[in-house]
Amino acid sequence: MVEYVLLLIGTVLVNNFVLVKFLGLCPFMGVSNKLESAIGMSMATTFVMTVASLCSYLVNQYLLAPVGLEYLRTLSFILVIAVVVQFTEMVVRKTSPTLYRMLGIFLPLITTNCAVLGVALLNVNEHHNFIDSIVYGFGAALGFSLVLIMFSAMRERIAAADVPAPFKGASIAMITAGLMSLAFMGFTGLVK
Amino acid sequence: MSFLLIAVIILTGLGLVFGLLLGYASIKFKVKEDPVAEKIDLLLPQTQCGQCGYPGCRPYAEAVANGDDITKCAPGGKATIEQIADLLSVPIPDNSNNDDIVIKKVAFIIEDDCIGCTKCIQACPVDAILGTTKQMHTVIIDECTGCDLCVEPCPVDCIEMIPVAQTTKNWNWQLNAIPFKQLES
Amino acid sequence: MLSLLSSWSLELKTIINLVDQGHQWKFHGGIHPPSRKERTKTLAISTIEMPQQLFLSLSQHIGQPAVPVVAIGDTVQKGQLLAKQDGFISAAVIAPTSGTISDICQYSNCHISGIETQTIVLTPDHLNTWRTKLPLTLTSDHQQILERIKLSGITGLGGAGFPAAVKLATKAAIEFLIINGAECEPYITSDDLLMQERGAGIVAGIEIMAQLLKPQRIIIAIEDNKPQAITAMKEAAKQSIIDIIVRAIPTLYPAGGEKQLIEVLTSKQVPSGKIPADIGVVVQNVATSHAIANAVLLDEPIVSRIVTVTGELVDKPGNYEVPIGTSIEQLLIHAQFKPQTQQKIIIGGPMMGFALQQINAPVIKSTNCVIAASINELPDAPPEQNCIRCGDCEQVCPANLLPQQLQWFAKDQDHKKLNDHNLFDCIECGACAFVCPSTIPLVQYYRVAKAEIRQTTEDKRQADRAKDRFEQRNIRLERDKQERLERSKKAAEVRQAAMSKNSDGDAVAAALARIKAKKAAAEESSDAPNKDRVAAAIARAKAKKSAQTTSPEPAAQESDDIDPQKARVAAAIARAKAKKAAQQQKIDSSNDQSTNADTIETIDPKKARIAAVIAKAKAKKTLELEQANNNGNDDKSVTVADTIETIDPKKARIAAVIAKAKAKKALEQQQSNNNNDQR
Repeated sequence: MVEYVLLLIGTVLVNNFVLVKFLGLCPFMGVSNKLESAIGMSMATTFVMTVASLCSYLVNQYLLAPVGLEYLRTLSFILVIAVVVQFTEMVVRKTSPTLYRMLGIFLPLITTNCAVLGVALLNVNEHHNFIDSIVYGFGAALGFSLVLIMFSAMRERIAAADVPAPFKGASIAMITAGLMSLAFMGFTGLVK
Repeated sequence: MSFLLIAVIILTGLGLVFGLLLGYASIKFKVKEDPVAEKIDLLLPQTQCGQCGYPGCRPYAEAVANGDDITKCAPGGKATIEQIADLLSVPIPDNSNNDDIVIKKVAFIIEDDCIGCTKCIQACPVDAILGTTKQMHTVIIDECTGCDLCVEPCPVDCIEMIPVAQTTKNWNWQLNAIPFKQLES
Repeated sequence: MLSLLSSWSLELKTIINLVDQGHQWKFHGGIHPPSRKERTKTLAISTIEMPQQLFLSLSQHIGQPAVPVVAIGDTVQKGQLLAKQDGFISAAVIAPTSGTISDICQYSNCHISGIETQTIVLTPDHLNTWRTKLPLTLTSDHQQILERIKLSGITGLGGAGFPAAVKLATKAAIEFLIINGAECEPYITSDDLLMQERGAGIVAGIEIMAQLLKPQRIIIAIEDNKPQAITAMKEAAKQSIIDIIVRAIPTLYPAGGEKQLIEVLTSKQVPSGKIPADIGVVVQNVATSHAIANAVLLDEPIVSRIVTVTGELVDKPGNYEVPIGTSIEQLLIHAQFKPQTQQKIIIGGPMMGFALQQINAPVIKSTNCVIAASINELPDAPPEQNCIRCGDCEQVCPANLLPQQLQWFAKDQDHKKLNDHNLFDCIECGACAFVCPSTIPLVQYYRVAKAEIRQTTEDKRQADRAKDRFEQRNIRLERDKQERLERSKKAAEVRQAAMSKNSDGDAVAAALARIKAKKAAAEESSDAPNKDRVAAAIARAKAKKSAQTTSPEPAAQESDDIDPQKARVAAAIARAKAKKAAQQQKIDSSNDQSTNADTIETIDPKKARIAAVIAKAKAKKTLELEQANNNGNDDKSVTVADTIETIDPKKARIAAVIAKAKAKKALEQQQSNNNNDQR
């Protein structure tokens, strides 16, 4: 049990996908303008990453590995992720319009989120078992959410602040992201 | 050779299974209404002026939802374009002929010239013109959307569009807009 | 439910008990600006001479402007109604003296924007004759008293100018009636002097309000920097027939703010978006109370008010009782104003007041103070610096808001966030701007943001309304269309029924037989020569009509042929030819249309106007025709208007309408052609 908790904390804080591994930077910059959309994106990503790491584990373990097709991993993982996302979108849209309004428009964006593919591939590289994979996927998503929501809250304040003209817009956002990354380096050595 | 064959079979099979799954889901979980048009309609200024080329705001909203240009709403101006662009997550088009601030206008009937033909009454999309045959007509200012549609049908050109006057009530508190005056006594 | 009720009454009991024990509370924040009241706080109320003209703005209050009930040239008496209130939140305008109405025009108003408003100009006759007075008593009917207050044009005299009758007409159960004598803004002493000199009048007004509201407690609140006023009011309250508590409250700006005063006296907080009456409190200013007493017990509506005139640039400061509508210039001259460069004329206090734009603006009901300040006294605000996030503003905000956050959002025009942070609870007291070390004009940002939000809300409301009306109209048009169809259908049925009624005997068989017979007859007659003669005649008539010329085409004559098919073809050709001819004629004549219009003899103005209208119609049509011709379109419109050279107005009008119809047809034709071309 302890190892799962350690894995979770390690993934969320120490090996944060966005700030340490630099995965999923596209939504990190793109969807962080508003706190509401950042929260929606976080929830959608959390869901998709957990399910995708589960599915890709199954595909890898029971379909690709037995026949020695590991070299097709990336290809089939992309296929798996895309299908999972599309299927989820359809189901959510039909079953819960409120949830769809919150997550719906972000779901298609997640298909191309490299963090999702990253978590699936890293699962294989690190030889995670079934539960490990799920925890790792969930932890990665949690780390992504944490950073995205923090960043969007900061950007909302920056939007209203007196930023010197040359730093306005994306540049101050980059600087902020860099500072956040520096801050997260402080967690190094906490676990593992 | 068989190695290659297995790879092809596995991937094709995987794709086929997933394709069937998605195909089934798209039938099973079909959602018919399109809420986007509704949302766009809420952003439009509802002048019903038809300057976009559609008969009213609702049809234009549906057209935009189906991919029409978002810059056609003249009364809404830049603000509306920005809001729609924000809603649809599309970039704001750069043809900046909508840059100037839209000044709200209302129709005004020059009553001496009105011959009471009721043409403008029929043209008004929001029933903001009062009057009857051979009687002078007048505009209910509070209801007028400033759409211009009554100007054209008037046979005697007695309708003018006049800008809404600024009063102490709709004054926007822009103090720097007031020229500083030295008060002399 | 019962327990809830009992606990509520228990809570009320405790609050009232605590109030009775003299308990006071504190509101959040507040500041201590220099009071600067010393110069005028001992100067007795004095009057000024009646000016040569009074300017009575119709927008002296919050809400709808009043509607004039007098005309230019009318002679009015003092106290007479000049303009009546329009709608629920509005207030009447009263003649402050007798005289004549010399003008009703746009004139500068005592408003920060300097925008001119509708103003009645009254030239006094210096006789000051009152209209007949019909005083009421304390025991008069409530409705009658309220009506009197309404007709007397009484608004809150503390500065905001909210119509007083609206507050007093509340249906809510009132626990506390608070009379606001705090007067917390620097410089102002008008209420102070009023309380010192006219305590009895104020108390009389309170008695009337107590009659209307039946409050459980009545409290007069006075800041403790006005000891004389407190003594005077205590004295006056003792004489009263009802229990009135006079309470000295600590001097702290803005203790005189309605919500802050309620909190200080009762510990209650007015919830966001609610009014004091919702929590059982009504607050009125002392001067308002005095005005109510005058209006009800003496039938003297609001004709004057007390204005503090102060500042370094006046040699004779004081508290003047000034007729409403006196120009501020006049008032300043009376106070021996010494103009200076870079001076400021501030209306109201320095915290919430504003710099006057035009010095000829009049004193209105809410003008409680005029400050003629030198540049040393009230220096210009230093340039705005960047916010250093010190948080001082948050410490002093009496409304418990976050001024710094609001400032960011206001600069960012983030209306949603501004609403989330309760911008509309801001009372614009200026405490935050007062303490700001970066001298940011915070309140100004809030005011602009508030105006923007109000505007967007209003636009949204209007858009929704327009949408509703548009949809309703479409429904109506559709219904009308259906009804027309229904009617014609019904009419047809009635006709048929009538026809079948005429038959006798075996109705069904007879009807069937007749229908058959008719059908046969119709078939026969379609070949009959008399039928094609009719068709030919119609064709001829159509051709003639469309030609509108005196030269009928020979082709039309040939339609008397025996073969109907041929006749119809011939008629069509004739029509086309006639049209062509007419078009030719029209092009020729379009040039001298304007001369035709000029030749219309004008005998009286009415005819002249008709002539003008015709000319306009023609001019419009000519323009359209020219456009059509320029585009090279086949324009088939026919001109008749130009042939009319008549002085008969009726004919002229008909001609104008015909001309318009033709012009429109031409335009539609042109448009459809254009569309076809595009396709």
